[in-house]
Amino acid sequence: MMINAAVFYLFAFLSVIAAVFTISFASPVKSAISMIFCLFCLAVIYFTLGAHFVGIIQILVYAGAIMVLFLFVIMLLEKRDCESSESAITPAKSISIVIAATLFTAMAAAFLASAGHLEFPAAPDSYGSIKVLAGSIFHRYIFAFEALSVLVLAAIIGVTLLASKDTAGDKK
Amino acid sequence: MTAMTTIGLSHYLILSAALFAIGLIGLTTRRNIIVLFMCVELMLNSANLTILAYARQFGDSDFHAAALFVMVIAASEAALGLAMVVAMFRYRGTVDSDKLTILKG
Repeated sequence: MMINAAVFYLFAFLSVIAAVFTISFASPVKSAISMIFCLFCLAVIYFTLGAHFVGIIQILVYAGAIMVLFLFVIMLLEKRDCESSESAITPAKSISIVIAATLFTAMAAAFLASAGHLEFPAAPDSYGSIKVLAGSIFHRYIFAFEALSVLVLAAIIGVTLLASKDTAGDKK
Repeated sequence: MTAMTTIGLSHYLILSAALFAIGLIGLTTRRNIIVLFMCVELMLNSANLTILAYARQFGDSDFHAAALFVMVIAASEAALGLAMVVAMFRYRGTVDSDKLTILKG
């Protein structure tokens, strides 16, 4: 439990730092690299929750596939001049920062008031095992799984249509 | 055992709230559409962290399936969104959200 707490604090700190870097770097490539690091830290935090399979999928799919797609598109489109005036703090930006900070304070206060310093109850032996997870995905929630496969198919068709030159929207 | 060495539900929920707030700040202050998409992914991840924290609290592995389904939806959303960004860049020549004003009255 001590080691779990130490790992949690270390990687929670690192993930928050990486998230702040993600939104503060002017260069989108640096943002994407920080985001990959943040997602990796979150995967470690999933491990501390006993969600080993979800953590591994997080590394493979999120930090691997999705962020590589982001990097690919950034490097395809990158124009150096489009971020030049982003660093200035305008009144609108400071208002949004204050609103988000207020939201965080309210949520943290509510969580501390309701959940307090509650420790997790002991989990059942089979908790997070792939056997149980496969049972819930492929048996109990099979309809949601199939609906998601249709969603992914629709996404593939949509992406192919959007990316092809003839249907890009300018000429019919 | 002091409060610092035992971690529980509230620790994970507060981390999740922090990531959500950071994503919200990024979403409202940045103008590059690709970075905006990354902020949305960050907020989806904080939602996933909440799901998994409650899964541990209730000792129910079914929530893990929900987290995986959220990941699938996030992947589809990222792929479609980035394809839209590429099409928009081809049409308008920019990824700056302030310069995309077609729908402005």
